[in-house]
This record gives sequence, C-alpha cells and structure tokens, in this order.
Amino acid sequence: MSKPGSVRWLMAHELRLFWRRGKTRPKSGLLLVGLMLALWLLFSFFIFQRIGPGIPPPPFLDGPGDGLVLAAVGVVIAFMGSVMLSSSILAAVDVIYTRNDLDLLLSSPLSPWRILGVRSAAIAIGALPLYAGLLGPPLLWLAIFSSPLWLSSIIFLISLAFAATALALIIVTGLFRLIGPKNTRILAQIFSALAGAGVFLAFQYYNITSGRRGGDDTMTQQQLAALVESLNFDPNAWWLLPSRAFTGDIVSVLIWLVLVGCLFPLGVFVFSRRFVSDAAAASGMGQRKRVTDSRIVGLRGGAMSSVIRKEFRLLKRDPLLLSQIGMQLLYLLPLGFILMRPGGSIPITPQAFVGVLALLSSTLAASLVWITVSAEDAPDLIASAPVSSAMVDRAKLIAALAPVLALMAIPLGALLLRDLAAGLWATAGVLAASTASALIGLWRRVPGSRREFVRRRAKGSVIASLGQAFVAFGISGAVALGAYGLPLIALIPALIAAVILGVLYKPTPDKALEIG
Amino acid sequence: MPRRKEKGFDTMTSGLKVTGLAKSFGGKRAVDGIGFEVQGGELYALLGPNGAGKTTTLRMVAGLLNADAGDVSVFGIDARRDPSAAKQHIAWLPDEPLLYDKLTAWEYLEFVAGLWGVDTATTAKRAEELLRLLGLWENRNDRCETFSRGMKQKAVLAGALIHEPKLLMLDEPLTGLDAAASRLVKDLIRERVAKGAAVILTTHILEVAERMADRIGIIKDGKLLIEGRLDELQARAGAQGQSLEDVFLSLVSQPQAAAEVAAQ
Repeated sequence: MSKPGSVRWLMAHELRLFWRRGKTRPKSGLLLVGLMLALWLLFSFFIFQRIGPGIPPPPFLDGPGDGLVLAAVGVVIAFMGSVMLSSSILAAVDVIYTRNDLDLLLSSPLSPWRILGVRSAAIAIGALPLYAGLLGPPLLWLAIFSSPLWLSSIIFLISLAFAATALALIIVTGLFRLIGPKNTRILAQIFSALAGAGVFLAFQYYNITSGRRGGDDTMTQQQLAALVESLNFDPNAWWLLPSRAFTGDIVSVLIWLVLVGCLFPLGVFVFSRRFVSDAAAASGMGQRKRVTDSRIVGLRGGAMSSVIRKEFRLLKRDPLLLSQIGMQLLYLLPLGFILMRPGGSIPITPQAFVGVLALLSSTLAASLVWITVSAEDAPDLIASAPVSSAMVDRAKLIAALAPVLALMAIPLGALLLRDLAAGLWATAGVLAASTASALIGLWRRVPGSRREFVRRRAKGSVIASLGQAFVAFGISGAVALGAYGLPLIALIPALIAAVILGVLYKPTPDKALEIG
Repeated sequence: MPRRKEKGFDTMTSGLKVTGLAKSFGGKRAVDGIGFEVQGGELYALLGPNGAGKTTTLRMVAGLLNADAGDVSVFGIDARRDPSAAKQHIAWLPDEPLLYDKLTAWEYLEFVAGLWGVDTATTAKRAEELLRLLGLWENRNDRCETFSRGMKQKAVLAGALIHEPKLLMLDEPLTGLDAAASRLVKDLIRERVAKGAAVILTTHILEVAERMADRIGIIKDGKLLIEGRLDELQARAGAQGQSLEDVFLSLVSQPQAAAEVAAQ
C-alpha cells in the first residue's frame, strides 16, 4: 500500500474508479471481454505464426521501400492518435464540467499540481485498454515471431496516449480562453468528432481526387513500383520519427520519449495553471445562461404540439447528440463528393446511394427516437398529465422523424434530379427505414434519463439495436435491389424486414391502466 | 509546510478572518468586498437569498476559487499565501453531496483521510466512531450509489469530520435530511463548536440559523448587509420580538432600509 496522498496512491484511486465505472457491470460482461480477448489472442497467434517469420524485422531504415512502410505505419499512427485525441478532448472537458470530486480533492492540502497531474495521466491511461486489447495480441506475436524490436511499439502506444492527452489539455484550455465556457463544451465536442473523423475523411478525399486523375484504378506491378519510386520517402525524414519509434529504432524511441516527456508536463502545466479559474467559470455558467425564445407562446396548439415543441427544444440543446449526428453526416460526405461529380470514373451510379440513404436515415432515427422516447427526463410528469400515452408517443415519433426527413431531403432532392427512379426508390427507403427504426425504438423502449444517455453513450436494449440494424439492412437492401431493377428479388429482404418488425411489435402499455 | 497538530487550540483566537474579499465573473461582481470574522468555538451562519454570493465566498475560503482581492486568514495562516497549510485545517461541505458512487462508505472515508494525511490507525478509529454515530456502520461496505440522499449527506459529513477540522464550512448542511438525521447533524456540528472549532454555515432554513448560530451575517448582491447576534439584528432592524424571518425579509427586500440599519 503506497503512502496516502502520494502520486501512486492517487493513481490507485483513479484506477479503482476507472475499473468500477459503468452501471454495476455484471460479471458476465467481464467474462465476455475476457473470452473475446482469449479468442483474439489465439486467432492472431495462428496468423502471425504463419506470416510472422516472413515479415522483415525492424527497424526499417533503408531506402524508399522502407520509407513507404514507415509512411504506411505513420497513417495508422495518425489514425490512432486522432482517435485518442478525440477521446482525450472529451475527457478533459468532462474534468472541467463535471468536477465534483475535484472540489473534494482540491480542498485537501495536497498540491493541485499533483492532483491534476494524476488526473491527466488517468485520462491517458483510460484510453489504453481498447488499444491494448486490439493491438496487444498481434504486436505480442509479432515480437515473438518476427523480432523483439516490435515491443517498442507498445511503449510507443502508451506514450502516444500521453501525447494525445497533453494536446487535448492544451486545446481545451485554449478554447476556454478564446471562446469562453459556454461554447467550449460544444466546440470541443465538434472538434473531437472532427479529430476522430479527420484522418478518415482526408483519405476519402485523397482517394476520390486521385481516382479522378488515374482513370484506371487497378495498378500493375510496375506502376506500383514506379509510384514507390516517385514518392521516394526518406525513411530518416523527421516526420517519420513516430513511425521509426513504433518500429523499434532505438534512437527514435528515445527522442520520441523525450518529446512526450516534455509535452505532457507542459499540457498539465497549461491546464492546471488556469484550471481553478476555468472550473469556477464553468460552474457559474449554469445560472447565467438564459435562453430567450421568442416563440414562447403559452398555450398555443394543445398537448400534442407542446410535446413536439418540447422534444425539438431538447434535441436542439443536446450538443453531444448534435455532434454525433454531425459525425454520421461527415462520414457520408465522401459519398456526396462522388454523387456531385459529373461522369466519374469510379463505377458508382446513383443507384448505389439508395441503400446508403435508407441505412443512414435508420440510424439517425434510432438515436433520435431513443432520446425522445426512452430518455424522457420526466416520465411521471407526462404519465400524470391528462393526455393519452398514444398521443404522447405519436408526438415523440414526429419529433424524432421530422429532423431526419429534413436532413435527408437534401440528398434525396439531389438524387431525384439526377435519376428520378433511383430518387423515388431512395425516398421510399428513407421513409420506410426511418419509420421502422423509430417504431422499434418506441416498442422496445428502455426508460432512463437523458443524463444517463450522455453518460453511457449507448442506446437502448440489445434486441432493439439488433432489430433496428436488421430491419434497416432489409429495407435498404430491398430498395437498392429495386433501384437496380430487380424488384422481385427485392421482395426477399423486404419480407425479412417485415417479419422482424412483426416479431418486435409490442403494444405500448396504456399508462393510465398501469397506474390505476 | 507547517502542520499544526495541537489539540486544544485557544478558543478565542480568530478562527477565520475574511477581509475585503471580492470576485467577479465576466463583469458581474459576485462577491463585493466581504469581510467577517468567526472565532474558534463559534458558529456563524451566513444567510442570504439565492445568488447572493454565499457559496462563492465559501469556495474562495476553501481555496477552490481564486479571489480577485482580499485576505483570508485561517487560524492565523494566510490562506492565499499558503493554501496547503490552510486547507489542512479546513473541511468544506458543499450542498450537493460529493461522493464517489463506486466507493463504499468505508473506502470513501479512508480516501478522504488519506488526502488530509491522517494516519491509518487514527482513520480506522475515527471512521468507526463517525459511521456508528451517523447510523451508517451497517452500510459501511455498501457502495454509495445505493445510498439514499440522506445517507449520502451523512457519509459526506463523516468525510468532512474525519480529519477533525478546525474550520468547518457547511453549505446548506440540512437540505434533504429527515428530522432524525437533521438532529444528528446539528448535534455533531454543536459538538465540533464545543471542541473549539470555528463553524460557518449557509442556510436558507432561517430557524436553523436562529437556533444554532452564535452570530448571523446577512449578505445580498455580494455584500454583507449586517451581522451580529440574533437579538442585535432584531434590535437594529427595529423589530423587537420579531422572528429572524421577518428581520431577514425586511432587510433583503429593502436595500435602502438595510443600508440605514447598517449605518446606525
């Protein structure tokens, strides 16, 4: 047992909380994770036992060939780093805004530096289990079957998490200074979504624009060799330092560790120095934020429209939800690039969008309906109101579906102009998929508060999510087949979707009866 | 870092002395030059309408917020110059129970004691005393997430008392407590006062202030309108025989009247 108040003691406390977080997690969940890990360990063992000896041992420092390998590793690192950055930004925002236990910690005689340093380190460490689980086994076997130098990748990943956290702390502190507490939260969420999606988008963009020049997409061996030659990555370039550190170049590992060793304390310094005042500003924010809505018009429109209006307001003021929707739309952008491109060389026709739009509208409707129906903050209030629960449900469905349809109207319009038949199929798909998804969310509701939704970032029951996914696949498959001129075959997925929908049907219990 | 361990501290030393404390948020003066003094062995109640600056004042004393101006002295220690030494003597109990849902009551007390550097043997002894006293002993190994609001409040109070603070600051300590729990908490607070601690509490339950407090300060818009013993306040408000509620309401609703009273 370490000395109370020491860094190790504080870290043990953080890790204990990290381990225990989540809703009284059942033992079975832990077992499942363990089992998956064991299977992954075994599976990757067989892969790397075969291909491991064939992989040239690191470090890769000779010639453009190695340079290209390092560049590829760099892409992977950039992706992981951006995802880590994204989650660290959210975690840093969380530290500022939900800082209840920091009040306790900071009112103790321990130095604030130590407390915030440990908290920051905990953010970094908290990001690691995912990567340890996914990349740990392959890297372990790679070290055994190829070269032990691969083990440096593990050191690299751990330090990468610390670097990402340091950057996140600096970014969040900077945003706080620049745009104030109110906007920081929203912007940080958007920023984190962008950081997560950025690398993906950049590559989509590159793919598409390079496809434009290329003409023929399939490259011959010589062309590939020529490409490598023309790129001519110098494996010793400064920007490949992380890749070299990942692949076990000892000098690069040392330089990298020194860099992170400077960056992390800097991040903690910047963050801590202003933390007390930042946190204080955030705490005052709740009271001073006033929403002036000129459309407060008292009793207009009756119960139905008042429910709809309330849901719209709450949806609009849910920055996390907005950033999630933004994220989903971001991933759709690359498809948009293609659609807008006249006479593209890639054989993607308007028909290809039919299914995608249906799928997307289904996931959007699923998250929105989850929020309006399951994440009702005051279910008792609504149940005690003199309105039928069926009417409330209808209002909530409308509130969830209207934004989806409004969003989808833009791509649907573009599609209709481009290809009328495909556009009509897509419209049918969007309507069917979003409605089905919303209905499932309604039938299989899991009551819980909006707050919980933000905390656990998950939605609803497993059955509902799976059902929504299968029905969405069924419908989008059907309309896609229809758009490609195969309406008879389209009946099969349509039927499957209908059957699943029928199985999931559960009449909503009448609240009045329940209470009586 | 000077760690003062003396047990029976002089009850007549100034426990908490606040002078000219000020804090603004975005141009709005939340606390505007507040000054007051709480002796060791005295219970001081800070009264005021919502948003008057009570909590902000206490947060600055607790070292959770940097003051724009002013001085805070805790049993002779300059809290702004040496926050760590001052915090050693302070317990801060916010209105919302600050508990770790995922820790048991026992683990929570262990943790808080660790933060204040209480040794293990003492921690175990005091934790048991406090948990038994507050009726949480049977629940000591339950996670706090299973607690009712009252139980949480009591667990937090136990946490605040585990390092035997000389200055106890309680923000709305009786909110959400039932009659029995509320009596327990009041008894505990009185006991600390009897042992020579300086206790400062904010409350909106005027009767609590009326019955428990040795002195009362009324603040509004970040300024201390008036302070004194209950009879003094009544006398100065020119409302002999009235309850504190009457005095309070007449003071906070009529700023000019309050100013006149304060000027007397």
